[in-house]
Amino acid sequence: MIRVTKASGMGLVVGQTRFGFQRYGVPEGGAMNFLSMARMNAALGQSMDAAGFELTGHFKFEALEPFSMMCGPASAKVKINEESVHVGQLISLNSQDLIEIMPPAQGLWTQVAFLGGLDVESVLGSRGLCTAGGFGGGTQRLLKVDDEFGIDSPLTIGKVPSIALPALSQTDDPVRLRALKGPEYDMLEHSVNLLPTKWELSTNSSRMGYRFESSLELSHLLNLPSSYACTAGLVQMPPDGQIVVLMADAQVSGGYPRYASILQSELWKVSLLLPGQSIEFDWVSFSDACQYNKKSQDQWCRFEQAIAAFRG
Amino acid sequence: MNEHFQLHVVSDRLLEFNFPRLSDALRFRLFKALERQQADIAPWQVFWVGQKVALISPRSITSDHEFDHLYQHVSGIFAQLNSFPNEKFDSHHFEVQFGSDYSPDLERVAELNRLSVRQWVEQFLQTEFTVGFNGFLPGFSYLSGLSSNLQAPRLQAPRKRVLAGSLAVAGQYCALYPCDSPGGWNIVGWVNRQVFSVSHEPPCLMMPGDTVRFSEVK
Repeated sequence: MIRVTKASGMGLVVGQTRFGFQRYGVPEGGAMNFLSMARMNAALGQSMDAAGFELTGHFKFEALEPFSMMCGPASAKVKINEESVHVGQLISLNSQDLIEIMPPAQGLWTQVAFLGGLDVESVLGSRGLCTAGGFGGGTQRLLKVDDEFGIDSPLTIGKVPSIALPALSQTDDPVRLRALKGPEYDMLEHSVNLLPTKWELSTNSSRMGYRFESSLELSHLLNLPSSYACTAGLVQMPPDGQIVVLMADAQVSGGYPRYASILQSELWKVSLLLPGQSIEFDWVSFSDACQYNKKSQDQWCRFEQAIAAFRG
Repeated sequence: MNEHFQLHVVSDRLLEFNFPRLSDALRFRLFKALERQQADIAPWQVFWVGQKVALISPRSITSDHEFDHLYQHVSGIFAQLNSFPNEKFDSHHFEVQFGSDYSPDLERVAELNRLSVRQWVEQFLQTEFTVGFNGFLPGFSYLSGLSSNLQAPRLQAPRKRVLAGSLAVAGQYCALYPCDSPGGWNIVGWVNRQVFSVSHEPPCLMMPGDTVRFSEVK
């Protein structure tokens, strides 16, 4: 059992994505840094169905009974009983231990995976909170002080390896993102003199979308496409000429011109950005995207094989 | 390439088919057929939004052959479209409360269309709406059929909180807010009925193709 003792920011229970409910208007959700959460759950020997926390801001918790957890991303700042601990490795806690989570050095979000997962009911295919619909996540809302969560017993207990977690390199400025051109890209290119190549993350961002600014000023209104389906990674251009990268809690339909779509395997990089940091798109063909995705899939297989070998 | 629809690779897990010239009846028939045969393309899911049908995968694809297979699947169903029976859709009826407490934007919307509030309400109540798709929020059904002399653009600045059950119009659509949420549509009434609940199966009361009528609470 764990109790929230300080909630200065936004925190919520996240689980696997709520896939297959788009027809009801239900967003997929899941962690902003899906790769960090997936790696930690894999290291803990559990599926993405195991629920954890994702937090931005300053949070404190008290362990009400012994349990184990792991935190990410690589730059997460976590203290146990006021002592800093390493991320990407198993942290074992005793009753009354105090956990403090501060904003990470990269991005806004810290992920916490629990060995066994949080004991919250699965609703429409996920234990995570649906922020738009106000359901799931145990409490049906964001974390508040005095919320308490049980932790399920792990299905199997094996050795837990220390793992590398996602991080941006110091030289990643601007951060380069592989992307496909969106269906309305050509229309956008013809509507403005010059499309910017560099976009800067604004403070006006949320779990639904990260807003990026540039020097672009549209001199006339763009033709809007008819409504369409959205998934995380889609890059829209609203009438103000800025762009919005749809993130984990993005709504399922949209209507602004689609400038691009970032490859799914690159989206974790966006979650590690801070306001003021810049991105540039590396345009890839569909066939290149397939090849790059295959490489990412192979890397993931090797990661899982290394964990299996470690566990014996 | 099929001349009857346009195909867009929107992302590495979303393929979009656009049927701009298909009648509503045929489009709903096609979409229902695609939904029924979804198992043939698992784990891809069918999601219709307006004139478009999206096929969405839970993971990014690693081979362009996968898209070829999906294209053949949709083309095959499209080719048999005329042999499919007409689909049955549900009809819904909602009682609406109009009045200053429930309709903060009604007077402005009526004025914009050079109608009195009573004229606007009466024309609205004569309309049969069709559910186009669900989006924006869980259970938020976009109802099409709003005639051009009842329409109003979205608010310049969205409200921070719109009450669940609010009946709202924006552009060519009308909708019921399924839960309290921020929103930029014009609120013209209120309906005391839950349109989305995770304890219901399916969770959404209204699905694409369903028809909707409103009457005024006496």
